[in-house]
Amino acid sequence: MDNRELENKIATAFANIAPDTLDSVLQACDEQKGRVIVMTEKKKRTHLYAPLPG
Amino acid sequence: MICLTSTITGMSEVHEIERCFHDIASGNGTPALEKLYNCTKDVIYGYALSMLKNTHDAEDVLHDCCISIYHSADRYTAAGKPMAWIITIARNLCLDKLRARSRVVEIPEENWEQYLELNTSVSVENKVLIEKCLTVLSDDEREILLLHVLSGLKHREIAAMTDRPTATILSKYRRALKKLRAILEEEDR
Repeated sequence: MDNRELENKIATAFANIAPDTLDSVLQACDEQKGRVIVMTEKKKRTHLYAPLPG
Repeated sequence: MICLTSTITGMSEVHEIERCFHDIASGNGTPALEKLYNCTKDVIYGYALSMLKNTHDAEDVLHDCCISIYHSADRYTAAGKPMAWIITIARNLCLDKLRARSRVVEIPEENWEQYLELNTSVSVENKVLIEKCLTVLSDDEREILLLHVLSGLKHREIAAMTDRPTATILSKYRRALKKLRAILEEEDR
């Protein structure tokens, strides 16, 4: 058995080994996409001191 | 979509994966992520299982890796190496898991043997080969072998990723193949 044959055997062995978790991945991505943080308008700072009379 | 489930080395697969990144980044996320998932799940899971030897952790890595790709696909710069990018994400997640394990006293048991036994989609011959990969090879040898064989990374790319000299990667790779070949040939006799 040469290197290429052995490499192919290993690649084939690991094919179809993963469980199908696509639904949970898609669901997690959708949930994160739908999470919206509402940005409220920033309050303007009011002047604490009245301007000096000119 | 033309895509090998085990190795991603051809240019058509590379272009397909890059197209998926582009589609995800431009808002057409779900179908593109589905394509990408089906194309890369065995590589990511196989690599994570070989690193962590725990099916739950490997599944977590697969899940988190896909989500990470989904959120950062726009940051991928096309360089013809999408698998290197994906595997880097998966590797970092695996290293996080290993670091987390070292912080807790209770080390999760290796449960891959039971998982393989129950998995009917893997033939007996392939189960034996996976078992040998996970038990006979050292951590380094296994990681290097699977990075090259499953994700199609070149030895110099693995060297850059793992921060080791290319000569070291090559010698560990050859040693891993030699070990596996010797064991498989012995079993055939």
